[in-house]
Amino acid sequence: MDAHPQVTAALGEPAPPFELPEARGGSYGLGDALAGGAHALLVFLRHYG
Amino acid sequence: MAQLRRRHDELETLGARIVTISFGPASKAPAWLDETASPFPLLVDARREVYRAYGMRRSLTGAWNLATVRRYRELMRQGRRWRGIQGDSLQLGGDAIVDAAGVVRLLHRSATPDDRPSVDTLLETLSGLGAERSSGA
Repeated sequence: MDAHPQVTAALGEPAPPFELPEARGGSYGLGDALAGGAHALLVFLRHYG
Repeated sequence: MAQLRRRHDELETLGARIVTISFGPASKAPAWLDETASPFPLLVDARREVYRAYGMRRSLTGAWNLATVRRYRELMRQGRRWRGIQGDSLQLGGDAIVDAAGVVRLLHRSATPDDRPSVDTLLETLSGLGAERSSGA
């Protein structure tokens, strides 16, 4: 786990980086999402309901 | 989620990689993936550190109101199965777009479970990023 909880995201500011377990296996982070020049759309679920 | 899945191609065409993040238990993730047929990475933030880092809200009145009850009723009518409350029932979600340079370009912290930017809004934001990239801005 490599999150940075002390950082609060803000518009126009660098996004807080993170690395989390991926449900299908392994881990995945913001760097993976942005790899190859992609933009990242992060969807925070309320829960699995 | 269903809308994002339906319009996945449009989002991808605009250079977006979609990532879902949940704080629910990892043991429940496979059932959710099966049920929603989500093709996107599902990250498990059990300690909600990333939720906090992105400022996602917790709210009793935001999380539980008449609209929430109606929404659950509608989902169950559509065949979704009630799996009970998992984790913090007051935690709300939200959406963020981070551009290729790692800068936050859209940040929506939901005030209620249904409070989400429309897919059209997300597409407009991404389209704007593409236009900036083309113009060298």
